[in-house]
Amino acid sequence: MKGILTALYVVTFFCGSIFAQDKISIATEFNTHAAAFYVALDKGFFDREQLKIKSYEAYVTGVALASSLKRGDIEAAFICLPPTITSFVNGGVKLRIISGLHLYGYGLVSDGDKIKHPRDLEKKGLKIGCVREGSGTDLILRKTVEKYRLNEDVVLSSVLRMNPPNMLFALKSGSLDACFLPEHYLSLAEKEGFKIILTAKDIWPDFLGSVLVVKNEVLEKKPKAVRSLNVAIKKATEWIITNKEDSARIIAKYLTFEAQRSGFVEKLDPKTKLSVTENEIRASMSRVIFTNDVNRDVVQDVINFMDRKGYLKGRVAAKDLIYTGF
Amino acid sequence: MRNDLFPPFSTVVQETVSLTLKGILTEHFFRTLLRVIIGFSIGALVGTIVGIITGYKALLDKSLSPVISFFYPIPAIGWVPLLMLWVGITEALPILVIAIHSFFPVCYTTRSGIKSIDQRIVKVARSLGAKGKDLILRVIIPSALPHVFAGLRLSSGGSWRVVIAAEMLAIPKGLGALVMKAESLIRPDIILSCLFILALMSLFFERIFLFLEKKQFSNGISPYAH
Repeated sequence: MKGILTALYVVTFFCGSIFAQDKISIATEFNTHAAAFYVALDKGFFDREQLKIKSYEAYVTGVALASSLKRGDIEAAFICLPPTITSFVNGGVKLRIISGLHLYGYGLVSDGDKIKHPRDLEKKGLKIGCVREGSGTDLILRKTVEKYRLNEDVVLSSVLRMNPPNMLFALKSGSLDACFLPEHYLSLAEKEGFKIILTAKDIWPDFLGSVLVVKNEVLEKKPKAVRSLNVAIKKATEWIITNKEDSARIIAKYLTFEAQRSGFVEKLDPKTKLSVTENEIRASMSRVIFTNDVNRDVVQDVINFMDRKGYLKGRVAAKDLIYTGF
Repeated sequence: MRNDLFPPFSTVVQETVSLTLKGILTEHFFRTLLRVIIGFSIGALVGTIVGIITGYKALLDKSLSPVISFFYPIPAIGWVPLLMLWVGITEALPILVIAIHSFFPVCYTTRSGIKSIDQRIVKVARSLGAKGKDLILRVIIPSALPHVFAGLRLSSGGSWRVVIAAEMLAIPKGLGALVMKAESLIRPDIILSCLFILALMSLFFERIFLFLEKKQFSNGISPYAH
Protein backbone atom coordinates (compact mmCIF):
# COMPACT_ATOMS: atom_id res chain seq x y z
CA MET A 1 0.00 0.00 0.00
CA LYS A 2 2.79 2.35 0.99
CA GLY A 3 4.55 1.55 -2.29
CA ILE A 4 1.43 2.34 -4.33
CA LEU A 5 1.01 5.68 -2.57
CA THR A 6 4.66 6.56 -3.16
CA ALA A 7 4.35 5.63 -6.83
CA LEU A 8 1.19 7.74 -7.15
CA TYR A 9 2.96 10.71 -5.51
CA VAL A 10 5.95 10.40 -7.83
CA VAL A 11 3.70 10.17 -10.94
CA THR A 12 1.60 13.14 -9.80
CA PHE A 13 4.73 15.20 -9.06
CA PHE A 14 6.27 14.55 -12.47
CA CYS A 15 3.02 15.06 -14.37
CA GLY A 16 2.52 18.31 -12.46
CA SER A 17 5.99 19.47 -13.38
CA ILE A 18 5.58 18.58 -17.04
CA PHE A 19 2.19 20.28 -17.44
CA ALA A 20 2.81 23.14 -14.99
CA GLN A 21 1.99 26.49 -16.54
CA ASP A 22 4.31 29.45 -16.25
CA LYS A 23 2.69 32.35 -14.46
CA ILE A 24 3.15 36.04 -15.06
CA SER A 25 1.46 39.18 -13.75
CA ILE A 26 0.60 41.88 -16.26
CA ALA A 27 -0.34 45.54 -16.23
CA THR A 28 -2.00 47.34 -19.13
CA GLU A 29 -3.51 50.68 -20.05
CA PHE A 30 -7.20 50.41 -20.74
CA ASN A 31 -7.31 51.61 -24.30
CA THR A 32 -6.79 50.16 -27.76
CA HIS A 33 -3.02 50.31 -27.24
CA ALA A 34 -3.34 47.06 -25.29
CA ALA A 35 -5.41 45.44 -28.06
CA ALA A 36 -3.00 42.51 -28.50
CA PHE A 37 -3.32 41.63 -24.82
CA TYR A 38 -7.13 41.59 -24.89
CA VAL A 39 -7.18 39.52 -28.08
CA ALA A 40 -4.58 37.05 -26.73
CA LEU A 41 -6.63 36.68 -23.57
CA ASP A 42 -9.91 36.20 -25.43
CA LYS A 43 -8.61 33.86 -28.14
CA GLY A 44 -6.68 31.71 -25.68
CA PHE A 45 -3.23 32.48 -27.12
CA PHE A 46 -1.73 32.57 -23.63
CA ASP A 47 -3.22 29.18 -22.75
CA ARG A 48 -1.91 27.68 -25.99
CA GLU A 49 1.59 28.79 -24.98
CA GLN A 50 1.12 27.23 -21.51
CA LEU A 51 1.24 30.69 -19.99
CA LYS A 52 -1.03 31.59 -17.12
CA ILE A 53 -1.80 35.25 -16.48
CA LYS A 54 -1.52 35.36 -12.69
CA SER A 55 -3.15 38.79 -12.47
CA TYR A 56 -3.69 41.86 -14.57
CA GLU A 57 -4.37 45.45 -13.72
CA ALA A 58 -5.57 48.15 -16.09
CA TYR A 59 -4.37 51.74 -15.69
CA VAL A 60 -6.03 54.84 -17.10
CA THR A 61 -2.75 56.32 -18.44
CA GLY A 62 0.75 55.10 -19.24
CA VAL A 63 2.14 57.65 -16.79
CA ALA A 64 0.15 56.08 -13.94
CA LEU A 65 1.33 52.66 -15.06
CA ALA A 66 4.96 53.83 -15.24
CA SER A 67 4.81 54.93 -11.59
CA SER A 68 3.50 51.48 -10.67
CA LEU A 69 6.18 49.61 -12.63
CA LYS A 70 8.49 50.03 -9.66
CA ARG A 71 6.24 47.68 -7.73
CA GLY A 72 7.53 44.16 -7.47
CA ASP A 73 4.25 42.44 -8.37
CA ILE A 74 4.10 43.80 -11.92
CA GLU A 75 6.30 41.60 -14.09
CA ALA A 76 5.32 42.71 -17.58
CA ALA A 77 3.42 45.67 -18.98
CA PHE A 78 1.69 46.83 -22.14
CA ILE A 79 2.64 50.47 -21.99
CA CYS A 80 3.28 53.54 -24.16
CA LEU A 81 6.90 54.00 -25.19
CA PRO A 82 7.56 57.42 -23.53
CA PRO A 83 6.57 56.34 -19.97
CA THR A 84 8.68 53.21 -20.50
CA ILE A 85 11.69 55.42 -21.19
CA THR A 86 10.90 57.57 -18.13
CA SER A 87 10.71 54.46 -15.94
CA PHE A 88 13.99 53.15 -17.32
CA VAL A 89 15.99 56.38 -17.23
CA ASN A 90 14.51 58.40 -14.34
CA GLY A 91 12.97 55.65 -12.22
CA GLY A 92 15.88 53.26 -12.60
CA VAL A 93 13.47 50.39 -13.31
CA LYS A 94 15.41 47.56 -14.86
CA LEU A 95 13.31 46.46 -17.81
CA ARG A 96 13.51 45.60 -21.50
CA ILE A 97 11.20 46.09 -24.45
CA ILE A 98 10.52 42.61 -25.80
CA SER A 99 8.01 43.59 -28.48
CA GLY A 100 6.37 46.51 -30.18
CA LEU A 101 2.56 46.71 -30.12
CA HIS A 102 1.53 49.45 -32.51
CA LEU A 103 2.56 52.65 -34.27
CA TYR A 104 0.77 55.97 -33.61
CA GLY A 105 -2.45 56.01 -31.55
CA TYR A 106 -2.74 59.68 -30.53
CA GLY A 107 -4.35 62.80 -31.91
CA LEU A 108 -5.81 66.24 -31.41
CA VAL A 109 -9.57 66.88 -31.30
CA SER A 110 -11.49 70.13 -31.07
CA ASP A 111 -15.02 71.41 -31.31
CA GLY A 112 -14.02 72.95 -34.63
CA ASP A 113 -14.80 76.52 -33.59
CA LYS A 114 -11.65 77.97 -32.10
CA ILE A 115 -9.21 75.40 -33.44
CA LYS A 116 -9.45 74.39 -37.07
CA HIS A 117 -5.74 73.90 -37.71
CA PRO A 118 -2.81 73.03 -35.42
CA ARG A 119 -1.55 76.61 -35.86
CA ASP A 120 -4.64 77.81 -33.98
CA LEU A 121 -3.20 76.24 -30.82
CA GLU A 122 -1.17 79.44 -30.48
CA LYS A 123 -4.27 81.58 -29.97
CA LYS A 124 -4.42 83.20 -26.59
CA GLY A 125 -7.07 82.29 -24.03
CA LEU A 126 -7.49 78.71 -25.21
CA LYS A 127 -7.85 75.73 -22.92
CA ILE A 128 -6.14 72.65 -24.28
CA GLY A 129 -6.29 69.33 -22.49
CA CYS A 130 -3.44 66.87 -22.45
CA VAL A 131 -2.25 63.92 -20.38
CA ARG A 132 0.61 64.69 -18.01
CA GLU A 133 4.21 65.37 -18.99
CA GLY A 134 6.11 62.41 -20.34
CA SER A 135 3.06 60.61 -21.69
CA GLY A 136 2.75 59.63 -25.35
CA THR A 137 -0.01 62.21 -25.72
CA ASP A 138 2.22 64.91 -24.27
CA LEU A 139 5.00 64.05 -26.69
CA ILE A 140 2.62 64.43 -29.62
CA LEU A 141 1.64 67.85 -28.23
CA ARG A 142 5.30 68.89 -27.94
CA LYS A 143 6.06 67.52 -31.41
CA THR A 144 3.10 69.47 -32.86
CA VAL A 145 4.49 72.66 -31.30
CA GLU A 146 7.89 71.90 -32.82
CA LYS A 147 6.61 70.90 -36.26
CA TYR A 148 4.36 73.93 -36.71
CA ARG A 149 6.95 76.20 -35.04
CA LEU A 150 4.44 77.42 -32.50
CA ASN A 151 5.33 79.58 -29.52
CA GLU A 152 5.96 76.91 -26.90
CA ASP A 153 5.36 79.23 -23.92
CA VAL A 154 2.01 80.38 -25.28
CA VAL A 155 0.79 76.88 -26.12
CA LEU A 156 2.02 75.24 -22.91
CA SER A 157 0.47 77.96 -20.76
CA SER A 158 -2.92 76.99 -22.26
CA VAL A 159 -2.49 73.30 -21.44
CA LEU A 160 -4.46 71.74 -18.61
CA ARG A 161 -3.26 68.32 -17.49
CA MET A 162 -5.83 65.62 -16.90
CA ASN A 163 -6.51 62.01 -17.78
CA PRO A 164 -8.39 61.06 -20.98
CA PRO A 165 -11.82 60.31 -19.45
CA ASN A 166 -11.75 63.66 -17.62
CA MET A 167 -10.70 65.40 -20.84
CA LEU A 168 -13.71 63.97 -22.67
CA PHE A 169 -15.95 65.18 -19.85
CA ALA A 170 -14.35 68.66 -19.95
CA LEU A 171 -14.56 68.82 -23.74
CA LYS A 172 -18.24 67.89 -23.67
CA SER A 173 -19.01 70.45 -20.97
CA GLY A 174 -17.17 73.19 -22.89
CA SER A 175 -14.40 73.55 -20.29
CA LEU A 176 -11.81 72.66 -22.95
CA ASP A 177 -11.47 73.98 -26.48
CA ALA A 178 -9.37 71.06 -27.69
CA CYS A 179 -7.44 68.13 -26.35
CA PHE A 180 -4.71 65.70 -27.23
CA LEU A 181 -6.02 62.20 -26.63
CA PRO A 182 -4.85 58.62 -26.99
CA GLU A 183 -6.94 56.10 -28.89
CA HIS A 184 -9.73 54.98 -28.29
CA TYR A 185 -10.72 58.24 -26.58
CA LEU A 186 -10.07 59.98 -29.89
CA SER A 187 -12.82 57.86 -31.43
CA LEU A 188 -15.14 58.50 -28.49
CA ALA A 189 -14.62 62.26 -28.95
CA GLU A 190 -15.28 61.89 -32.68
CA LYS A 191 -18.49 60.03 -31.90
CA GLU A 192 -19.54 62.93 -29.68
CA GLY A 193 -19.22 65.24 -32.69
CA PHE A 194 -15.71 66.62 -32.17
CA LYS A 195 -13.32 66.99 -35.08
CA ILE A 196 -9.97 65.26 -35.36
CA ILE A 197 -7.46 67.99 -36.27
CA LEU A 198 -4.38 65.81 -36.49
CA THR A 199 -3.11 62.35 -35.61
CA ALA A 200 0.34 61.14 -34.56
CA LYS A 201 0.87 59.80 -38.08
CA ASP A 202 0.67 63.34 -39.48
CA ILE A 203 3.48 64.72 -37.37
CA TRP A 204 5.74 61.85 -36.31
CA PRO A 205 6.34 59.16 -38.98
CA ASP A 206 6.84 55.65 -37.58
CA PHE A 207 6.16 56.81 -34.01
CA LEU A 208 6.15 53.65 -31.90
CA GLY A 209 3.06 54.09 -29.74
CA SER A 210 3.20 51.22 -27.27
CA VAL A 211 5.47 48.35 -26.35
CA LEU A 212 5.51 45.20 -24.29
CA VAL A 213 8.08 45.44 -21.50
CA VAL A 214 9.34 42.83 -19.07
CA LYS A 215 11.43 43.39 -15.98
CA ASN A 216 15.02 42.13 -16.18
CA GLU A 217 14.60 39.84 -13.19
CA VAL A 218 11.65 38.18 -14.91
CA LEU A 219 13.75 37.72 -18.06
CA GLU A 220 16.36 35.98 -15.91
CA LYS A 221 14.07 33.93 -13.67
CA LYS A 222 11.27 33.05 -16.11
CA PRO A 223 12.77 33.00 -19.61
CA LYS A 224 10.26 30.39 -20.75
CA ALA A 225 7.30 32.50 -19.59
CA VAL A 226 8.69 35.58 -21.33
CA ARG A 227 9.20 33.62 -24.54
CA SER A 228 5.63 32.31 -24.33
CA LEU A 229 4.34 35.81 -23.69
CA ASN A 230 6.21 37.10 -26.72
CA VAL A 231 4.88 34.30 -28.95
CA ALA A 232 1.30 34.80 -27.72
CA ILE A 233 1.44 38.54 -28.41
CA LYS A 234 2.91 38.01 -31.87
CA LYS A 235 0.08 35.58 -32.67
CA ALA A 236 -2.48 38.02 -31.28
CA THR A 237 -1.06 40.88 -33.36
CA GLU A 238 -1.18 38.75 -36.52
CA TRP A 239 -4.75 37.79 -35.67
CA ILE A 240 -5.73 41.46 -35.21
CA ILE A 241 -4.25 42.34 -38.61
CA THR A 242 -6.18 39.58 -40.38
CA ASN A 243 -9.40 39.72 -38.31
CA LYS A 244 -10.09 43.41 -37.81
CA GLU A 245 -13.86 43.08 -37.39
CA ASP A 246 -13.65 40.34 -34.77
CA SER A 247 -10.78 42.13 -33.05
CA ALA A 248 -12.87 45.29 -32.77
CA ARG A 249 -15.65 43.28 -31.14
CA ILE A 250 -13.28 41.65 -28.64
CA ILE A 251 -11.50 44.90 -27.75
CA ALA A 252 -14.83 46.74 -27.35
CA LYS A 253 -16.00 44.04 -24.95
CA TYR A 254 -12.91 44.31 -22.74
CA LEU A 255 -12.71 48.11 -22.82
CA THR A 256 -16.38 48.50 -21.91
CA PHE A 257 -15.83 46.19 -18.98
CA GLU A 258 -12.70 48.08 -17.85
CA ALA A 259 -14.31 51.47 -18.31
CA GLN A 260 -17.40 50.51 -16.32
CA ARG A 261 -15.26 48.94 -13.63
CA SER A 262 -13.25 52.16 -13.33
CA GLY A 263 -16.36 54.27 -12.83
CA PHE A 264 -15.13 56.91 -15.27
CA VAL A 265 -17.79 56.49 -17.91
CA GLU A 266 -20.81 57.09 -15.73
CA LYS A 267 -20.05 60.77 -15.43
CA LEU A 268 -19.55 61.11 -19.18
CA ASP A 269 -22.96 59.93 -20.11
CA PRO A 270 -25.19 58.52 -17.38
CA LYS A 271 -27.81 57.27 -19.85
CA THR A 272 -25.71 55.14 -22.12
CA LYS A 273 -22.68 54.74 -19.82
CA LEU A 274 -20.77 55.44 -23.03
CA SER A 275 -20.00 51.83 -23.57
CA VAL A 276 -17.30 51.41 -26.18
CA THR A 277 -18.81 49.96 -29.32
CA GLU A 278 -17.21 48.06 -32.18
CA ASN A 279 -17.66 51.13 -34.40
CA GLU A 280 -15.44 53.34 -32.22
CA ILE A 281 -12.85 50.60 -31.90
CA ARG A 282 -12.88 50.02 -35.66
CA ALA A 283 -12.33 53.75 -36.24
CA SER A 284 -9.65 53.77 -33.59
CA MET A 285 -7.89 50.73 -35.11
CA SER A 286 -7.88 52.38 -38.53
CA ARG A 287 -5.57 55.09 -37.20
CA VAL A 288 -3.17 52.61 -35.61
CA ILE A 289 -0.72 50.22 -37.29
CA PHE A 290 -0.40 47.01 -35.32
CA THR A 291 3.14 45.67 -35.47
CA ASN A 292 5.60 43.86 -33.22
CA ASP A 293 8.64 45.50 -34.79
CA VAL A 294 10.79 47.67 -32.59
CA ASN A 295 12.75 50.10 -34.70
CA ARG A 296 15.85 51.05 -32.73
CA ASP A 297 16.22 54.38 -34.55
CA VAL A 298 12.64 55.35 -33.73
CA VAL A 299 13.16 54.49 -30.05
CA GLN A 300 16.38 56.52 -30.04
CA ASP A 301 14.56 59.40 -31.69
CA VAL A 302 11.94 59.38 -28.91
CA ILE A 303 14.68 59.20 -26.24
CA ASN A 304 16.51 62.14 -27.82
CA PHE A 305 13.31 64.17 -28.11
CA MET A 306 12.41 63.54 -24.46
CA ASP A 307 15.92 64.47 -23.40
CA ARG A 308 15.76 67.67 -25.45
CA LYS A 309 12.51 68.60 -23.74
CA GLY A 310 14.13 68.16 -20.32
CA TYR A 311 12.14 65.06 -19.41
CA LEU A 312 15.08 62.74 -18.81
CA LYS A 313 17.92 62.75 -16.31
CA GLY A 314 20.24 61.74 -19.09
CA ARG A 315 20.35 60.32 -22.59
CA VAL A 316 20.56 56.53 -22.96
CA ALA A 317 21.13 54.30 -25.95
CA ALA A 318 18.03 52.59 -27.34
CA LYS A 319 19.95 49.31 -27.56
CA ASP A 320 20.13 49.19 -23.74
CA LEU A 321 16.36 49.22 -23.62
CA ILE A 322 15.52 46.72 -26.35
CA TYR A 323 15.76 42.98 -25.73
CA THR A 324 17.10 41.01 -28.65
CA GLY A 325 17.58 37.61 -27.01
CA PHE A 326 14.75 35.72 -28.75
CA MET B 1 17.75 52.30 -0.64
CA ARG B 2 17.65 53.16 -4.33
CA ASN B 3 19.04 56.59 -5.13
CA ASP B 4 16.55 56.95 -7.98
CA LEU B 5 13.62 56.94 -5.62
CA PHE B 6 15.23 58.17 -2.39
CA PRO B 7 17.66 60.83 -3.55
CA PRO B 8 20.22 62.11 -1.04
CA PHE B 9 19.90 65.68 0.20
CA SER B 10 22.93 66.72 -1.90
CA THR B 11 21.11 65.64 -5.09
CA VAL B 12 18.02 67.61 -4.07
CA VAL B 13 20.12 70.74 -3.46
CA GLN B 14 21.94 70.21 -6.76
CA GLU B 15 18.63 69.88 -8.61
CA THR B 16 17.21 72.96 -6.87
CA VAL B 17 20.23 75.01 -8.00
CA SER B 18 20.05 73.58 -11.52
CA LEU B 19 16.30 74.29 -11.87
CA THR B 20 16.81 77.80 -10.49
CA LEU B 21 19.61 78.56 -12.92
CA LYS B 22 17.48 77.33 -15.81
CA GLY B 23 14.69 79.64 -14.63
CA ILE B 24 12.20 76.75 -14.31
CA LEU B 25 11.90 76.85 -10.54
CA THR B 26 11.73 80.65 -10.39
CA GLU B 27 8.90 80.79 -12.93
CA HIS B 28 6.82 78.22 -11.04
CA PHE B 29 7.73 79.72 -7.67
CA PHE B 30 6.65 83.26 -8.56
CA ARG B 31 3.33 82.01 -9.93
CA THR B 32 2.67 80.26 -6.62
CA LEU B 33 3.90 83.24 -4.59
CA LEU B 34 1.56 85.59 -6.43
CA ARG B 35 -1.40 83.26 -5.88
CA VAL B 36 -0.57 82.95 -2.17
CA ILE B 37 -0.24 86.73 -1.74
CA ILE B 38 -3.51 87.48 -3.55
CA GLY B 39 -5.47 84.60 -2.01
CA PHE B 40 -4.17 85.22 1.46
CA SER B 41 -4.81 88.98 1.24
CA ILE B 42 -8.41 88.42 0.16
CA GLY B 43 -9.03 85.77 2.83
CA ALA B 44 -7.32 87.74 5.59
CA LEU B 45 -9.08 91.00 4.71
CA VAL B 46 -12.54 89.45 4.55
CA GLY B 47 -11.79 87.35 7.64
CA THR B 48 -10.71 90.41 9.62
CA ILE B 49 -13.78 92.43 8.58
CA VAL B 50 -16.22 89.61 9.37
CA GLY B 51 -14.32 88.91 12.63
CA ILE B 52 -14.64 92.56 13.68
CA ILE B 53 -18.34 92.69 12.77
CA THR B 54 -19.21 89.47 14.58
CA GLY B 55 -17.04 90.38 17.57
CA TYR B 56 -18.46 93.86 17.93
CA LYS B 57 -22.12 93.45 17.04
CA ALA B 58 -23.89 90.85 19.15
CA LEU B 59 -26.84 90.52 16.78
CA LEU B 60 -24.63 89.87 13.74
CA ASP B 61 -22.57 87.46 15.82
CA LYS B 62 -25.67 85.45 16.65
CA SER B 63 -26.73 85.24 13.02
CA LEU B 64 -23.33 84.74 11.35
CA SER B 65 -21.39 82.66 13.86
CA PRO B 66 -23.45 79.46 13.45
CA VAL B 67 -22.97 79.67 9.67
CA ILE B 68 -19.21 80.25 10.03
CA SER B 69 -18.93 77.44 12.60
CA PHE B 70 -20.81 75.14 10.24
CA PHE B 71 -18.47 75.76 7.30
CA TYR B 72 -15.22 76.03 9.31
CA PRO B 73 -14.55 72.25 9.59
CA ILE B 74 -14.70 71.81 5.79
CA PRO B 75 -11.10 71.68 4.55
CA ALA B 76 -10.34 74.30 1.90
CA ILE B 77 -9.43 71.54 -0.55
CA GLY B 78 -12.93 70.12 -0.08
CA TRP B 79 -14.28 73.15 -1.97
CA VAL B 80 -12.16 72.40 -5.04
CA PRO B 81 -14.66 70.22 -6.98
CA LEU B 82 -17.34 72.86 -6.50
CA LEU B 83 -14.98 75.71 -7.41
CA MET B 84 -13.94 73.82 -10.54
CA LEU B 85 -17.56 73.95 -11.67
CA TRP B 86 -18.13 77.52 -10.56
CA VAL B 87 -14.94 79.22 -11.79
CA GLY B 88 -13.39 76.48 -13.94
CA ILE B 89 -9.72 75.54 -13.97
CA THR B 90 -8.48 79.11 -13.97
CA GLU B 91 -6.18 81.32 -11.90
CA ALA B 92 -9.17 82.04 -9.68
CA LEU B 93 -9.30 78.43 -8.48
CA PRO B 94 -6.11 78.25 -6.36
CA ILE B 95 -6.60 81.88 -5.26
CA LEU B 96 -10.09 81.15 -3.94
CA VAL B 97 -8.92 77.97 -2.21
CA ILE B 98 -6.23 79.98 -0.40
CA ALA B 99 -8.72 82.75 0.41
CA ILE B 100 -11.16 80.23 1.92
CA HIS B 101 -8.35 78.62 3.89
CA SER B 102 -7.16 82.01 5.22
CA PHE B 103 -10.60 83.38 6.01
CA PHE B 104 -11.62 81.11 8.87
CA PRO B 105 -8.61 81.32 11.24
CA VAL B 106 -8.38 85.10 10.82
CA CYS B 107 -12.12 85.53 11.31
CA TYR B 108 -12.19 83.32 14.42
CA THR B 109 -9.16 84.85 16.12
CA THR B 110 -10.27 88.43 15.33
CA ARG B 111 -13.74 87.72 16.71
CA SER B 112 -12.39 86.10 19.87
CA GLY B 113 -9.83 88.93 20.22
CA ILE B 114 -12.57 91.55 20.17
CA LYS B 115 -14.76 89.55 22.52
CA SER B 116 -11.90 89.22 25.01
CA ILE B 117 -11.32 92.98 25.31
CA ASP B 118 -11.75 94.23 28.84
CA GLN B 119 -15.15 95.97 28.70
CA ARG B 120 -13.97 98.52 31.30
CA ILE B 121 -11.54 99.89 28.68
CA VAL B 122 -14.39 100.26 26.20
CA LYS B 123 -16.49 101.98 28.84
CA VAL B 124 -13.65 104.36 29.73
CA ALA B 125 -13.14 105.18 26.04
CA ARG B 126 -16.86 105.80 25.62
CA SER B 127 -16.96 108.01 28.72
CA LEU B 128 -14.11 110.00 27.16
CA GLY B 129 -16.22 110.55 24.05
CA ALA B 130 -15.03 107.79 21.73
CA LYS B 131 -17.76 106.27 19.61
CA GLY B 132 -18.45 104.59 16.25
CA LYS B 133 -15.49 104.48 13.88
CA ASP B 134 -13.13 106.06 16.41
CA LEU B 135 -13.96 103.48 19.03
CA ILE B 136 -13.38 100.60 16.58
CA LEU B 137 -10.19 101.92 14.97
CA ARG B 138 -8.52 103.43 18.02
CA VAL B 139 -9.58 101.13 20.84
CA ILE B 140 -11.15 97.89 19.75
CA ILE B 141 -8.91 96.85 16.83
CA PRO B 142 -5.61 97.72 18.57
CA SER B 143 -6.81 95.76 21.59
CA ALA B 144 -7.60 92.73 19.46
CA LEU B 145 -4.37 92.90 17.45
CA PRO B 146 -2.50 90.06 19.21
CA HIS B 147 -5.35 87.72 18.32
CA VAL B 148 -5.56 89.07 14.77
CA PHE B 149 -1.82 88.50 14.33
CA ALA B 150 -2.12 84.96 15.67
CA GLY B 151 -4.76 84.25 13.02
CA LEU B 152 -2.72 85.89 10.26
CA ARG B 153 0.36 83.94 11.28
CA LEU B 154 -1.50 80.64 11.24
CA SER B 155 -3.25 81.18 7.93
CA SER B 156 -0.24 82.70 6.12
CA GLY B 157 1.81 79.55 6.68
CA GLY B 158 -1.20 77.39 5.96
CA SER B 159 -1.75 79.11 2.60
CA TRP B 160 1.40 77.44 1.31
CA ARG B 161 0.11 74.10 2.50
CA VAL B 162 -3.11 74.37 0.50
CA VAL B 163 -1.76 76.07 -2.61
CA ILE B 164 0.23 73.00 -3.61
CA ALA B 165 -2.87 70.82 -3.50
CA ALA B 166 -4.90 73.35 -5.51
CA GLU B 167 -2.17 73.67 -8.12
CA MET B 168 -1.95 69.92 -8.53
CA LEU B 169 -5.35 70.01 -10.22
CA ALA B 170 -4.53 70.66 -13.84
CA ILE B 171 -3.12 74.16 -13.21
CA PRO B 172 -0.28 74.55 -15.74
CA LYS B 173 2.18 76.61 -13.69
CA GLY B 174 3.13 76.74 -10.03
CA LEU B 175 5.04 74.62 -7.53
CA GLY B 176 2.11 72.17 -7.25
CA ALA B 177 2.09 71.76 -11.03
CA LEU B 178 5.85 71.21 -10.98
CA VAL B 179 5.40 68.53 -8.31
CA MET B 180 2.87 66.76 -10.53
CA LYS B 181 5.14 67.04 -13.54
CA ALA B 182 8.04 65.62 -11.51
CA GLU B 183 5.83 62.79 -10.30
CA SER B 184 4.85 61.84 -13.85
CA LEU B 185 8.50 61.94 -14.91
CA ILE B 186 9.54 59.91 -11.83
CA ARG B 187 11.78 62.67 -10.42
CA PRO B 188 11.60 62.49 -6.61
CA ASP B 189 14.56 64.91 -6.39
CA ILE B 190 12.43 67.67 -7.99
CA ILE B 191 9.43 66.77 -5.81
CA LEU B 192 11.56 67.06 -2.67
CA SER B 193 13.05 70.30 -3.95
CA CYS B 194 9.55 71.81 -4.33
CA LEU B 195 8.46 70.50 -0.93
CA PHE B 196 11.47 72.04 0.79
CA ILE B 197 10.71 75.38 -0.85
CA LEU B 198 7.10 75.16 0.30
CA ALA B 199 8.19 74.36 3.85
CA LEU B 200 10.64 77.27 3.84
CA MET B 201 8.06 79.69 2.45
CA SER B 202 5.46 78.56 4.98
CA LEU B 203 7.96 79.19 7.78
CA PHE B 204 9.06 82.49 6.23
CA PHE B 205 5.50 83.83 6.02
CA GLU B 206 4.81 82.85 9.64
CA ARG B 207 8.03 84.55 10.71
CA ILE B 208 7.09 87.73 8.86
CA PHE B 209 3.91 88.04 10.90
CA LEU B 210 5.74 87.15 14.10
CA PHE B 211 8.26 89.89 13.31
CA LEU B 212 5.50 92.42 12.51
CA GLU B 213 3.69 91.45 15.69
CA LYS B 214 6.79 91.95 17.81
CA LYS B 215 7.60 95.21 16.07
CA GLN B 216 4.05 96.47 16.56
CA PHE B 217 4.04 95.82 20.27
CA SER B 218 7.62 96.88 20.91
CA ASN B 219 6.60 100.34 19.63
CA GLY B 220 4.70 100.87 22.86
CA ILE B 221 1.23 100.10 21.58
CA SER B 222 -0.41 98.21 24.36
CA PRO B 223 -2.72 95.46 23.26
CA TYR B 224 -5.06 96.08 26.24
CA ALA B 225 -6.51 92.64 25.78
CA HIS B 226 -6.35 89.90 28.40
